[in-house]
Amino acid sequence: MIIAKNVTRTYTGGSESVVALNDLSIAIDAGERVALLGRSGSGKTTLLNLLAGLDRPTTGSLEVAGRSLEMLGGRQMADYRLESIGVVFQSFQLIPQRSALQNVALPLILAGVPHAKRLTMAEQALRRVGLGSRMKHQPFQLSGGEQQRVAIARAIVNEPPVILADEPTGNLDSTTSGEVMELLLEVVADNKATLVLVTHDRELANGFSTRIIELADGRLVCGDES
Amino acid sequence: MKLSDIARMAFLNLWSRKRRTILNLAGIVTGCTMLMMTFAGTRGVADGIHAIIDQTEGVRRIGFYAGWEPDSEPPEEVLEVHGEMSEERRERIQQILRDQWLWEHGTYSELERDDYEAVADWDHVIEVIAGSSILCRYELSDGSTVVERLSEDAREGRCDTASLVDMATGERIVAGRRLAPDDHDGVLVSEIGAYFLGFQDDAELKNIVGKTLRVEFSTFSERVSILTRILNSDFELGNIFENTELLLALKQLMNSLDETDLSDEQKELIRNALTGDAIPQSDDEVTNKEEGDEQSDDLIKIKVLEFTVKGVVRSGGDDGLLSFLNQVMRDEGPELLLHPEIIASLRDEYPDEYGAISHASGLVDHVENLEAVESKLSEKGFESYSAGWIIDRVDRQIRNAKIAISLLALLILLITAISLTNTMIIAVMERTPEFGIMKALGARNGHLLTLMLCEGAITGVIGAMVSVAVSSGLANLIDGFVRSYVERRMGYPFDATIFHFSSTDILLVLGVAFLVCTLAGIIPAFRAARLDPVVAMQRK
Repeated sequence: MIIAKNVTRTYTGGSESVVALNDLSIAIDAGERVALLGRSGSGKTTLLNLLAGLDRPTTGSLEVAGRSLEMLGGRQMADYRLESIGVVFQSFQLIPQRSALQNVALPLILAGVPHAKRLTMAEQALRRVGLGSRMKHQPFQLSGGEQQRVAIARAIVNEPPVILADEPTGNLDSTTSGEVMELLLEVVADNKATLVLVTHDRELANGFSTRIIELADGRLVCGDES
Repeated sequence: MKLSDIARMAFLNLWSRKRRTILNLAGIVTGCTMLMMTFAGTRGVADGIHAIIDQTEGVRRIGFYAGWEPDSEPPEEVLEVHGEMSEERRERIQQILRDQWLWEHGTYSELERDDYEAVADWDHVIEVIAGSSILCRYELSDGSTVVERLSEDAREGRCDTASLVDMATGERIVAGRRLAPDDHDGVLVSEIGAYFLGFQDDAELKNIVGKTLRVEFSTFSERVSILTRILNSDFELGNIFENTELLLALKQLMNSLDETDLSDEQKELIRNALTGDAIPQSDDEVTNKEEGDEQSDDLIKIKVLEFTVKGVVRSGGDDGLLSFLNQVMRDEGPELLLHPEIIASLRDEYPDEYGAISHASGLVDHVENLEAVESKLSEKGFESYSAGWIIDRVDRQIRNAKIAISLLALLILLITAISLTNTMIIAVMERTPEFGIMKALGARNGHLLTLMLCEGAITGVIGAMVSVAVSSGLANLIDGFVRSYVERRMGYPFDATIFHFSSTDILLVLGVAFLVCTLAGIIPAFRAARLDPVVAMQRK
């Protein structure tokens, strides 16, 4: 499902360059729940951005859901993000002026799903995350946990094969974090999707993943069996 | 992503940011309203001026006369110009010398009845009225004041421009009232006429109203045949009009002299007796006895009528275009204004043979045809004058004003566009995280580009549509003010509107607003499309 070969990502700022990922190779099978564990600056979010098609590796190759990302142009990359990936961000990344329903329907609009059908699909997704009664609410009218549920609903609404979650509980209290993670695992299981969870919380990683890939200074520390 | 969804999203974006949208709309509405009002205003003002001109019958009149026939070309010594000077100056001076010589050595042709009557049959000519230069002498019936003036352009003026006078006098009445439609016995006296009659102080002016004015219509003696003078001395004053048949019979006799057996000498004698050309007039035939007044020495009474003074009309003054046209068309204006029907009956009663038809006035159906009719008059050898040049000048000024104001309005729209571009760039900066999210979710660059252009276009079209409504409301308001002002000033109903909106203008403004606002969205749209989604999402 996910194959990274000798991936290096270097950021250049002025005369200095920082190696965020250094010759990383991993493989994740379909349906796996993998936690990317590491301290801040270990390169886990960089890897997630590369997998999400939001960034490109400096060298190496990435293959996700049967697509070689280095081969994709801008337009194809956008389609890849739309069709193959669902992302849950730490800070939710909801559009503040839109209701929960409109936020969830956004990927469907981009996919060209007809109006009536996308409303039904978005409503179903929101009900699935327990927000059937909060569809018309705007993000600022929802709690942090509810906002993250909306983000999860948005990530799964077009049923992508890969769900990427970047510190999804980073802005939530411990009780809410547990609820959100359980929900995330539930919907991932229902959709038979592959989950890549980025976290610095080892306990969380142990509790909710089938495998842990640990990174440090952009290199693989342990967890990959490829 | 479908275009309809992009448009829907653009609407939602505008709706969800009402304050910014309203600010943008305000700018566009201001620019478009300016543009719309400019287009409609310049057209409306032009139409309004043309409406005033069309309603002003006098402006559609062309005065014409047979012209001045030079007896011969001036001799060379007359055109000799001495001194060292440029050729241009020499030519100018020679031209003046030539004109002066021709004026002194030419013959003034009188207008023949057939000539001016033929003009009445031309295309675009509604009617032709002949004019006479008749002298008149007027006095208060109590004999307190006698005024002797040449005022009979008064006669011609009133006949030719009856509707103009009728229209113009509403506001020009300074004492008394205007003539009623059936007021055949009434007369309006101009301020200058009243002044000559002794009503000099402002406070006295109203006292002339109600007085009886005795008017003697006269003419130059050289224009009057011996027969008229005989009739004048043999009959009571004014009887000439009752004896027109006799005059015509005598004229017929004169015309048929050649068919008689009389000798040439006898025929010539009778002709001279009837036309009076060779017979000097006697002193008692002269109406005016004042010494030193060459003009009035040759006057002969034709008819006397009495009128009641109904009001005093302001002489001259700055009344704007209409007053200007009045003055142009009637020179200094008459001292007495009579009912048009009185003027018409005077002209009908007055035998042309003795009235000396010096000129005529043709009424053209529309101002636009003035030039064509004038050209034809020129081709036929008539000299003519009309207000056509004023209309041309007004049209030219309107065209220039339209260009200047349109440029100004476009400049305003351009400033609006720059301002709009600026606010849209700020909007993109504010919405950077939103665009980042959209890109992260799978939006293509083209989607964001189209979305931004769509927002600009929708803002432009809505702004333009609002501006149509605003312009229309403003136009109604201003039209109301202007109409009541013009009606107050001119004293007659004014139907024209200042702002004429055409569907072309509306479409043009919609198109310009659409184009300008879409173009204004291009730079922000490219900025939005080029955003790095990761960086964009992190931006606060």
